[in-house]
Amino acid sequence: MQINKFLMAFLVIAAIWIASFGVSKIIENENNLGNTIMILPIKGVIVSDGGSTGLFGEESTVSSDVLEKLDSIEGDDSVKAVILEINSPGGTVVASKEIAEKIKKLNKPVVAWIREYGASGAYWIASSSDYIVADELSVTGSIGVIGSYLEFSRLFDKYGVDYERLVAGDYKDAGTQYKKLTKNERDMLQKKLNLIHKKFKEDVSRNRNISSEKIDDIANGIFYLGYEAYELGLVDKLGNKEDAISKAKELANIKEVKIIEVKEKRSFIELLSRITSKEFYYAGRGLGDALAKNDFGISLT
Amino acid sequence: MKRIKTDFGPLINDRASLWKRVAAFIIDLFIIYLAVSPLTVVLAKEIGIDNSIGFSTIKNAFYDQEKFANASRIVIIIMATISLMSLFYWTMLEYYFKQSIGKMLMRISVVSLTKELKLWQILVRNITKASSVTSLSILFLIDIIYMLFNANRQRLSEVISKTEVTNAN
Repeated sequence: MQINKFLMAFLVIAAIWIASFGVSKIIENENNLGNTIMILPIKGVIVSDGGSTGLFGEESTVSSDVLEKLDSIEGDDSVKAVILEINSPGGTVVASKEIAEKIKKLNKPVVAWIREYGASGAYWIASSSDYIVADELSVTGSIGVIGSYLEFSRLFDKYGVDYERLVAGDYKDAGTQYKKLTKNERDMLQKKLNLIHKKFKEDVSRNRNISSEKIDDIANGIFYLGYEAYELGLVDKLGNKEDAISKAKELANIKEVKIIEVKEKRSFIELLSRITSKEFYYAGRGLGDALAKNDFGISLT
Repeated sequence: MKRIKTDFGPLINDRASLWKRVAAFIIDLFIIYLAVSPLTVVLAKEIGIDNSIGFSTIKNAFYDQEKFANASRIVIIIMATISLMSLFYWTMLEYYFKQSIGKMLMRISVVSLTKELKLWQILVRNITKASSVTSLSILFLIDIIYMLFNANRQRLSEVISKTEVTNAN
């Protein structure tokens, strides 16, 4: 009886294990998408952290999110290639560079597909991919660095506002909006911009196999339309999404493939805040205009 | 030893202690999780516990809403399947031998407070346990709380199914 008991227990456990195994195989087969190509969007301004960088909830790409997604894609054997759908005017230096470096190290073929804009930092990212497809009228290039800002010292003078300078370290407040740049400060900041620009150019030169002399000519901050960029060797093909997919398949050496587009899930609260922030902007702007014109009989002075 | 008289049958004079019952439950859980290990591996992938990422992992289901919904559906299916298999385990063993493996090792067994132990009794007494195997079930929580306040240390489902757990001879 004791033996029968344990035998029965063993049989029950074995039956459960077999049933679990069967169900797990069914689930895995259902989930198996076979070979896939991921389309990963790079849209809006590229930033390192946080959400949107614009005042009014404009679209942005956060580099830490992109890096996380690329890590996931790297670990997923079913993903055979990646297409970067780029529609970005650029962004901050480190954010763009981080993504570009990750793309270069990715163990899968990457095709950059530039849509309206793929300029500056976004082009830096595109250049690190294996192949670039752009529309003939896409805006790309703009291989340069900008550090411009509004300087309010004369406005403050007009209203009797003084800037009290208290620093330890002569260059500590270089670039503050409350005073004009001195010559030394300007030279110092310009040197920094030049260093960043040099790094940017070197990377693009290496990525695109363009000589340093040629890159110095073309990487002067000017933007190029797609067909101009093609002639300069900044893009590989003038085309569209189908061309990007076709190239990705070729690079991955696969014929049958499922295309998956990565989409951000937005919560209802996020959508609502975007709508309301725009509404508040326009409401405030209208009020501001009316006050400025003194429509309400209220004086600002 | 307390003797309590029941309306339906023999005197229960050797009720199993709480710690034996808890120990038996933990042993059974361990055995069940071994038996359903193929499913727990898939479950771990779906919720992103391991490093390899399937397409439907909830943790990384940023692909689209459909994938996220699919991942959730799969997780629910797996959890329901594990619960059903747990119920099968307890029902089969307690019905035929009045003991699961955990109870065999702790030398305790199920007795009926009616004349003989019926299948419906085994099912009813184990439904709440089975439902709690993959997640904390409110029913099992009620069962346990009832047991703590019950003089006979019976779970509510045991009262309904007219069963008790005693020390085995």
